[in-house]
Amino acid sequence: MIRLDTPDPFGIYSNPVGHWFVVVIAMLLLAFVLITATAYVVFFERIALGWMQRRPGPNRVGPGGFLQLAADGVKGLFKEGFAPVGVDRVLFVVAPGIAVASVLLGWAVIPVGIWGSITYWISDLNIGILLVLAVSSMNVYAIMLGGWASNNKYSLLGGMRAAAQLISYEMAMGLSLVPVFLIVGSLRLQDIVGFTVHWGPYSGPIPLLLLAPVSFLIYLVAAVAETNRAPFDLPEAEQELIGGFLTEYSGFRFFMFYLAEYLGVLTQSTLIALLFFGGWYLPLIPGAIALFIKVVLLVFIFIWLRGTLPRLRYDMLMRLGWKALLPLGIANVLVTSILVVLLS
Amino acid sequence: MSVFSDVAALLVGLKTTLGETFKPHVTVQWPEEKSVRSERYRGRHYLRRYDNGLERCIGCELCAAACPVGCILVIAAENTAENRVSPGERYAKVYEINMLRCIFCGYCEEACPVQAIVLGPEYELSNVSREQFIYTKEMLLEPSPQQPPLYAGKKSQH
Amino acid sequence: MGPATIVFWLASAVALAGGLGVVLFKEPIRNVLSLVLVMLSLAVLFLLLSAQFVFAVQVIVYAGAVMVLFLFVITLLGPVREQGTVRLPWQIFISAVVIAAFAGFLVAMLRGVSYRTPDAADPIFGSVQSIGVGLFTDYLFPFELTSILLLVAAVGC
Repeated sequence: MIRLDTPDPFGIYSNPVGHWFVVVIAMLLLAFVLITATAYVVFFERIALGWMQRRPGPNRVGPGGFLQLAADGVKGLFKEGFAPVGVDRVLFVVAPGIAVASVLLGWAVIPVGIWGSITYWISDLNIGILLVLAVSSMNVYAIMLGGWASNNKYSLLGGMRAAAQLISYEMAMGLSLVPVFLIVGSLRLQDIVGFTVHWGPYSGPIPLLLLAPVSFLIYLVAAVAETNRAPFDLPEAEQELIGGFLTEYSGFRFFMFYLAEYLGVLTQSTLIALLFFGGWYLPLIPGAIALFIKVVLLVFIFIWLRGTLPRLRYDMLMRLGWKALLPLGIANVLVTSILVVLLS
Repeated sequence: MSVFSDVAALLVGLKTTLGETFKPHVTVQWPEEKSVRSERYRGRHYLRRYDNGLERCIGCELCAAACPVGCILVIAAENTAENRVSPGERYAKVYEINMLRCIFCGYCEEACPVQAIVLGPEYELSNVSREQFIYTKEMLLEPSPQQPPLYAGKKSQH
Repeated sequence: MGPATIVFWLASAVALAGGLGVVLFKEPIRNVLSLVLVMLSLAVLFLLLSAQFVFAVQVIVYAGAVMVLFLFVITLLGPVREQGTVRLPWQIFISAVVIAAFAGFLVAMLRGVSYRTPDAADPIFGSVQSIGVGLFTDYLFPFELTSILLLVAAVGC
């Protein structure tokens, strides 16, 4: 559903067929924008990681290396999609599809500010961000099935690690959001972004980072773990597991997993921008550009963490998830509930 | 509290990488830029001349004998009064180096009594067929002072 | 037949197919995945009934966590087909009796049901707010009892 605060000029939204037409066009457009943006997340990461290691990163294909990802994509599409002997053909092919679908589906409820107060989203569900959590929890099936179907012990170990890791950090992720819901009183991302305070002379939107900083920290750590990125990239730990669940994948199917990982980074960055940084509100700057700036900075944080921190050992990962983040999350919920009751 | 010192350690690491991000890059953008070769670098071979244009090589085959992989072929011929190529009695009629075999050890350079063969700084020697890796005397020989320079200011010649 | 009816029939068909898959597939991993399919189509049915919160919880808890643990165990078994070795005596007869009994129960249950168009759901039905209010007012005692039960289960084993 696209909500325009301008009046509906052609009556196209009130017409059921016209409404569906608009929704389908909007979904295709969003998917196109997202996949292109994902390519540039990869490019941005390669440049930023390069700079952190004092090298320029890709700069040969096109001006400033800007077409590197197009070249890589075309190469990947034309490579042989090899399947080793003894793989479970059906699951081996289905797994990358689940990976991409589970990330793309979440964008149904993620609103994107376009200009001023005009926002854009596909579906306006009351559960809002719970849908994102629900569909992104399907990602674990992609990794586990990909690992299992590959008929390779390293892939299987990667899949097992992914399952344990994703389940552990999903708990912390869900708990870290509860204080946000308590403060805002809604699960819809539109309401969370539009949360306003009336503090003396100031009356207007406020980034929830200021009201729930602990939530932000827990969510950031859990988001990095959920997207399987360094320092939490144990499922594909190159040194110990070759490539984990990706070991036997090549060509187009490998690219789909790759796309899912970076699309996940983009999704989580957008979510954090909307949840904790006030989404498309920034003084003097139009909505789309404000959201864009915030998302780019958050993607940079993901890359920055990858460029800095070494991978956690497995028991440290579990200890951090269950013994640090989870109790911290519960304490955060308790303290926030008490404060909300006292202050309201 | 160990938690705070751990978090502080993380922040120190993050600060370090962020600081490195905006320092100048150390990458040498080959092939537009070349890294500096040391004077003693052992790259492509050259056969030198004397200042008067005569070749230094006297066809003694000591380089071929010293070569551990046997990549040098020298066939000598006698200098005559009409056709004087080198100051000595003989000169190299054929001088070939198989660059695929050469290990760039520099023993030929050390064995040469007249310092005719030297290893230069060029290292971009890749090529597309095996035949082109057999460097003949014409390719190896320094240009005569009377002729226009063959190698100066150019990249590696194949 | 509106789009909701089409979605209902599709989701029901997928759920039934998944249920059959749980019983009929020979590889354990296919059984688990069929069960996941059942859970997901049930979630779609909840969504059709405007129970958005139950939909999300169904996906997160059952499909996203419980079934992952099933899968976790099953994947360690490897791609082995389950082979039936010995059949119980009277197996066919006993299963026929059980099926007939359950079919009888179903028929008896559905006999008196009369179908009507559902009431128009009020806007907050199935939303997080209505579930929350329900849990902390009308159903507070069963809710707390369940949480104590879960706590005991979590601590005790």
